[in-house]
Amino acid sequence: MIELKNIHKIYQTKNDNVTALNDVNLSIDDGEIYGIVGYSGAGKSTLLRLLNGLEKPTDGEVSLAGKALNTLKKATLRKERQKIGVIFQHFNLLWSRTVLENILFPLEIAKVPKSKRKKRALELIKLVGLEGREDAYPSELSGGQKQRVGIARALANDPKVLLCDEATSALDPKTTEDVLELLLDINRKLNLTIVLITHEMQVIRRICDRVAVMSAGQVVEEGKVTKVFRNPQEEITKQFIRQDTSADSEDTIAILHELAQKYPEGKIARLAFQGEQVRNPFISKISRTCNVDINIIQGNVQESQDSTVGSLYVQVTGDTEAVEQALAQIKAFDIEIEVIDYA
Amino acid sequence: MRNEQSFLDVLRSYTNWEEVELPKLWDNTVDTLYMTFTSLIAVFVIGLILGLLLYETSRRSGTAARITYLVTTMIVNVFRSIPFIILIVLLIPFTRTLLGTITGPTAGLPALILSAAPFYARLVETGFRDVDKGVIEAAEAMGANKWEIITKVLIPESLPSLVAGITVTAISLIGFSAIAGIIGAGGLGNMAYLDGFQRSRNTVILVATITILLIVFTFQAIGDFIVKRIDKR
Repeated sequence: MIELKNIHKIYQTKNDNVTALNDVNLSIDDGEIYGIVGYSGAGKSTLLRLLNGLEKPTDGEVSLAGKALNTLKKATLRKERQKIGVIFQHFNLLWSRTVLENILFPLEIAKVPKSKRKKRALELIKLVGLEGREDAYPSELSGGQKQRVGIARALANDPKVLLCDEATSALDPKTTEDVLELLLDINRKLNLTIVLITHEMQVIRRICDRVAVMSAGQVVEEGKVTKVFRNPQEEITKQFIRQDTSADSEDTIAILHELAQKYPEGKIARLAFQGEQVRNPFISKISRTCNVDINIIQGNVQESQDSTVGSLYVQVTGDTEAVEQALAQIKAFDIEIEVIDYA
Repeated sequence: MRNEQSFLDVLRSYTNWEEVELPKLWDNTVDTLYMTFTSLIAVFVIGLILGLLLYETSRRSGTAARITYLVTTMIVNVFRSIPFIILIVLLIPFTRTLLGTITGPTAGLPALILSAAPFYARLVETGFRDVDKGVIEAAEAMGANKWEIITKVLIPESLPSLVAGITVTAISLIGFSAIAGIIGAGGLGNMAYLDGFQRSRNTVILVATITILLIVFTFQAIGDFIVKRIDKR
């Protein structure tokens, strides 16, 4: 569906050149939800704007549904954009129009006959669950409702792809959950390809099939969400995952430091496991066989799109040799392990 | 005692109602309204176009856009800075050639329009700039062309500013029309000066003042009402 080849984007300022994207290659399949995660300034917004032609790459090729966007003429590109839905962090609704009129807006631009516009808009209002609010103005809606209008508006012209620009970053956790649920629902119902950029790893975990991690204008890690969560390669990816499992909350860090000082001989490790492994009573087994003590510091289990991902912070104490052996055995259970040095 | 007496006399001089000829007051009110409305319509159209030009060219970096912006800004600033009374005499030869006369309400129009249109253009430009950039980007992302962005986004989303701006402009036009009246354009300013001041009829000045105040308050009230009705932010 979407193909990015050797993308470079360089902004020229008065004094020097700023590289926003540096040799990015991505391939996004039909019907999948693809997440791009990165801190602000990583280049993800620029990347998203390339996908609807609001930016052109300095070098490289952007193709969407078989069309090379970077080569199209302005008028053709505008026509093409009608088939690319976008939703925004700050919703970007017209305050002067009601819910219904906001959804009619893209239909007016696409020159849909007047008689069909209203019918289509009402269908969309139903799809996003805003029946009864047709005549409300955006100022009368909550953040979650505004984003629903944004989604309905983006879907108006049956887009081939939906781009989400930090679509849940301005919403509270409960509303975020609802909006993600809606996106997942739309993806399944319409088999719509969704590309979303975010700095929140939990958004990726909840709904994405694949993820690309961006840092300093480059894609540093890419793959299936479950795989990346279980076995992250890059430090930045690990940071994002830790932020999601909330182990880096003030409390946990304080406890980890305390324990590390109390038992300098022990090792603190983060274990990541998935699906079926949850059933294996490996802790008591290893504790018995290796003669070590295992202290559970923090743990959680989270839903991702197609399975459960668990993470557990443990402290293993005992003879240095026994501890090493225990860690090796945990690995043998096919559990990802990351030893953390908090001392 | 003597002072008090004369003070009362002055007050009384403002209430000689027989000095006021109602048909004349009516005619002059109509002239003032005519000057205000006619110039207001022209100012609205010219100001909107100039304001749009300022807004569009200020954001671009091309040479043609830079030059257009600088020239427009210069014209706007020059006409905004000329004191109205001087602008009106400056334009007398021009008005004579254009309209064949330099008296009567129509003769006041060129100066009124030229002084108020640049002022309104600035208000329009500010109004457009205050439109949420994100909303414009959303419209671009939906494939809207320039014309659609102007008519469906910029103007509707800045409408309260545009209306509030035209209200302020209308009120200053009423003031300018009174000045124009004094040098021969007719209307309530003319009445206050020629009929009132020059013939020492204080009541006529007072009545002309009150009528102008009523017109100003009416404009302000209508403007405020419309802004309140259309602003759904």
